[in-house]
Amino acid sequence: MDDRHQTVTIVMIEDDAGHARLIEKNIRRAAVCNEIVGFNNGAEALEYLQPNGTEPHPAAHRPLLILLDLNLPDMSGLDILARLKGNEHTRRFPIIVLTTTDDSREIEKCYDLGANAYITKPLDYDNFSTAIRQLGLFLAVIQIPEMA
Amino acid sequence: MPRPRRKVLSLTSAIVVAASLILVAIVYGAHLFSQKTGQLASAALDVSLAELKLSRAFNILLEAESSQRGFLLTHDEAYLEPFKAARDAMNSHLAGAEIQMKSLGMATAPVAMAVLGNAADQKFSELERTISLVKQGQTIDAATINGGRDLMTQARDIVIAQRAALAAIRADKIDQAQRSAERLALLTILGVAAVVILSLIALAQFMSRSKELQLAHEKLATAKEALEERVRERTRDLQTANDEIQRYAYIVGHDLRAPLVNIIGFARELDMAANAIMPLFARQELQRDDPAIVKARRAIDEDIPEALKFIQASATRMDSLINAILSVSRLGRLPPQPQSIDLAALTMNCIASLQHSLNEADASISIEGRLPSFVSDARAMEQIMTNLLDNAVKYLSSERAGRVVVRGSRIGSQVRIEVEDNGRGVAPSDHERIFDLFRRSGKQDRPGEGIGLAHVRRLVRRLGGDISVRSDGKTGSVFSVMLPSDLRDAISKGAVHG
Repeated sequence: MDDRHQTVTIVMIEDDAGHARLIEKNIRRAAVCNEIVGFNNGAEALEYLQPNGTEPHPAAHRPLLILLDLNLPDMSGLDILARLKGNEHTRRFPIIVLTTTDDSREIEKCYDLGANAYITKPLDYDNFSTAIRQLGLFLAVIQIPEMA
Repeated sequence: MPRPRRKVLSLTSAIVVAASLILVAIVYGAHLFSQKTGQLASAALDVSLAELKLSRAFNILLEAESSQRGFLLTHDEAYLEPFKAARDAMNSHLAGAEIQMKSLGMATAPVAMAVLGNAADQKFSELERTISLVKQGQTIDAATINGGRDLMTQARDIVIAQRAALAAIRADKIDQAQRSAERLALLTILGVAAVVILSLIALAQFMSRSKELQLAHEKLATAKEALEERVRERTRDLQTANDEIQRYAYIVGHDLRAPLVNIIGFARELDMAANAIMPLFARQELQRDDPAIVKARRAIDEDIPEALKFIQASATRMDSLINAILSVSRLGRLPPQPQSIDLAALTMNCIASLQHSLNEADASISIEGRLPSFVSDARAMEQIMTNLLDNAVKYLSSERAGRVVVRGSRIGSQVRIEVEDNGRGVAPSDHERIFDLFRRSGKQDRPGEGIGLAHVRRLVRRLGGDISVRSDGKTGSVFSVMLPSDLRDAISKGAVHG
């Protein structure tokens, strides 16, 4: 891991603690040591990222990678996706959508709204682990957006 | 209707019968009166004839007398010319008059006429005698002339009396005829009035009846409209309920998956953890007869893997059930796309995709007669036919060679498609059950989740149709699908949610 990658913070918006833990375990297993900031609801996550503010949040000055669950208790993940991608301070952060559904229409909608990747939480756990580990590889090659 | 129909009918017929009777009476009365008037007119004519003849006879007598007078004064034979045929002519007129008078029933006529005849006869005798005396050159005495004048007076009186009697009879006849005509007029007026009144009653009856009919008709139309509205309401309610169930199924399916991800995920983590411990127990330096170590080893080697195997198998099974719920509920979310369907070609495609199973089972599928073409959703139809044919081949009997027959026909605005097999059949108690999700029939010796027929029924209903099965549970089964022949009509009528 070089220093540049260490600076990328992973923001995980996931209400299910079990899912969050499993994702984290697999990320760590892929030898990705980046900081992970977790939120279990949409409101707190949006407050952290503040996509509607005129000034970016101090946290948003760092390069972020966002893992977004679509099924949140307080708001739709699609809503959060649209707001993050619709704001100039946050639209360049890569967003990876996590969901239990394999409904092709929902997947299409996510890509239409600007999602960078889509991971189905599969019941075949080994596939899931592989996908998360590939995420580690993904982290190794993503272009970190230029910060102002 | 509150008013008994029979009563209305009988009243109307009574009016018709009465009006007819009155009309017949008027016609008959008119006939009678005209006959009577005719008789009276002919009687009046008889009276005139009798008068005429009587007058004519008396005129002849007067002419004869003046003819005689002329001759007596001038001795010119030319004056005697009218005299010659006068007596016979007069007698013939008198006889004629008498016959007429007798026929008119004048009781005194024969006597009066006899007297008149006698006087006329004597007068002619007197006239002839004076003429012959003058011809012989003799004079005539006054007594003769006086006697002749008396006879004339007598004859004139009788004629006047008889004419008066005849005039009285004529007046009577004319009077009778007039009264008869008046009676006829009165009868006709009354009759016409009665018919008019009856007609008005009948008309009123008819009007009130047709008003009743109109009212009944309107009530019926309102009732029909209300009924249709209720059907529409129920359809909407059902649709709403159905949509709700589908959303519910979708949400439940979706939400059930989240905990399942944890169960499977952490079971796998546990497995990994157990695998991490396992090498420890393989070490040589371990106290193999230590009961605690033996126990822990068994847990690591047998109990944990067994528990994890069951957890994983159950979770996997639960996942496939949830997937089935999701897929069945997802069916209802896509609106059907009506398009022209060539059922024969579609069935041939399904048969081709089943060829492998058919070869394995040594079975055959044939199409009987011509399959109808209709308008429906092609993808749904393909799934319906594939599922039905797949089932037919899957549940064939081992006791006989498998034969599956597909047939179809158009019944009015519906299409019926039947898939018949000679397989093991479906027990009558399961005829409804097999269309429910996760329910299966018979010996559970074939792979399957009990999803196929639930899926088919969902699809068929989505297309505005229904499916049923006939089977004795031993010698085969017939799955019968009824569908609207034109899905566009079904959508526009609201029978199918477009």
